[in-house]
Amino acid sequence: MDLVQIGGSLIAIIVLAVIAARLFPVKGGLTRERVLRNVRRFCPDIEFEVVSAKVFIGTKGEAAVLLFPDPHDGVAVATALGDRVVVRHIEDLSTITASRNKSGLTVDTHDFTQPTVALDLPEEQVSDLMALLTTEQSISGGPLHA
Amino acid sequence: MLDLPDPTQLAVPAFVLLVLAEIFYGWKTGRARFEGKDTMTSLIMGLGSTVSGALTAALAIGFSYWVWANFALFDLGAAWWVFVLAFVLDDLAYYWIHRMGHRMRWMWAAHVIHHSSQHYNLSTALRQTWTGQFTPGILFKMPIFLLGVEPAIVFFCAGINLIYQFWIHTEAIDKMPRWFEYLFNTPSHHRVHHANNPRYLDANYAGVFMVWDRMFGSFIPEEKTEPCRYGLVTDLGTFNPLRVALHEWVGIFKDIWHAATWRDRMLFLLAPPGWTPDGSRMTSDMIRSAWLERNKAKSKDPTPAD
Repeated sequence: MDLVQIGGSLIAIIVLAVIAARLFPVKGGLTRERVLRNVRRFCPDIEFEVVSAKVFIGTKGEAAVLLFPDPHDGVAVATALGDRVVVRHIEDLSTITASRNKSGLTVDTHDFTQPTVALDLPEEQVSDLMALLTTEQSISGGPLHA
Repeated sequence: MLDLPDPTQLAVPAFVLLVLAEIFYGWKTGRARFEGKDTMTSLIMGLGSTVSGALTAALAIGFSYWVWANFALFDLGAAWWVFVLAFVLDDLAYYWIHRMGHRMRWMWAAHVIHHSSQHYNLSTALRQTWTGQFTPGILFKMPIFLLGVEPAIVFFCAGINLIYQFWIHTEAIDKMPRWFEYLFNTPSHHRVHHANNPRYLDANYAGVFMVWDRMFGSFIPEEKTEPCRYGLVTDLGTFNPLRVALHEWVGIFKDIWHAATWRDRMLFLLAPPGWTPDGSRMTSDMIRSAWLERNKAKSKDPTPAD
């Protein structure tokens, strides 16, 4: 394979990706229903009342944190990846770091396959979420804040 | 050394045109779905795979020719029937390479890339590994070289096999005629292979001939009642090609680094993906068992979960 072939391939890749993006635009971010559905799929062994789950969704629908009603079950972090949803279940909160940022909250799961998750949240929700995470962290043990 | 073309290189323009055709077909009919970044990642992985394959090809070719030149039992030559024989035997070898690619974490580290998209379309076919040469996969082809088939013929047939597998990565085709579904790998069979529904995990490893799955007990048909959901059991949260290419290798390295015994270190390489000494993660067998248990419990208790 020479450089011309690689260059030509790159141009073809970009053209195809742009066409795909134009014809299949990503519509809508995360909603409470979408988060719950995907968390249920990802964590089929955790049974919980939908109404009891606390869900914090970023204002742009880019990510969400769900706190299971039973603190021993930990939290689920959902992110919108293109038009799909990726979920991580964190049972032991000592394995993640949560910190405030300019527009909300950053959750670092220290996972090579799931880079830092940032949620745009109003200030009062950031405070609520941080407080709840700290309470749950005291149950699961270990430091949480950066 | 027999001078044969690389069929996959020649097929690249057709791949591009067919992906384009499927994009427009999906847009018109809704029978195929794409997402821009996902498509970009799949195609970048395909290009990277071609480049890394070209850089490391000498290793595999050199080793294969060394085995063939020194240990082959027969000299089968290059008659047409040798190509047919090589194609069938290579497809059998592919079945086992592929099966081990799902059942041995070392080989999964390379193959996982192909399963890392949550979409299933022709671009997914091109989402290929950058690190295949760093796994023991080539060893499964050794019996063919030992039998006396020249490696160039085997690699040529492997290229044809890969080209065959391109068209089966689509949701646009429902089912082929029954006789075809019985004999050959099809979009329906391969959708099952790419699905992460517990029912469908670790099934349908065939390249071209479905007979291998039927023969070795790994065939699962696609059920209308359970649509395939694509991707990994734990999906990637990134489109970054480097993370896509290397994530399982990083995971293996971390696990081996923190392992307590040499037995554990070895099993982190050789055991199925998801294996841990304390059972804290789940292998596909464990996921399927848990799913069966849940189904059993549900059938005893008619109250729906929701």
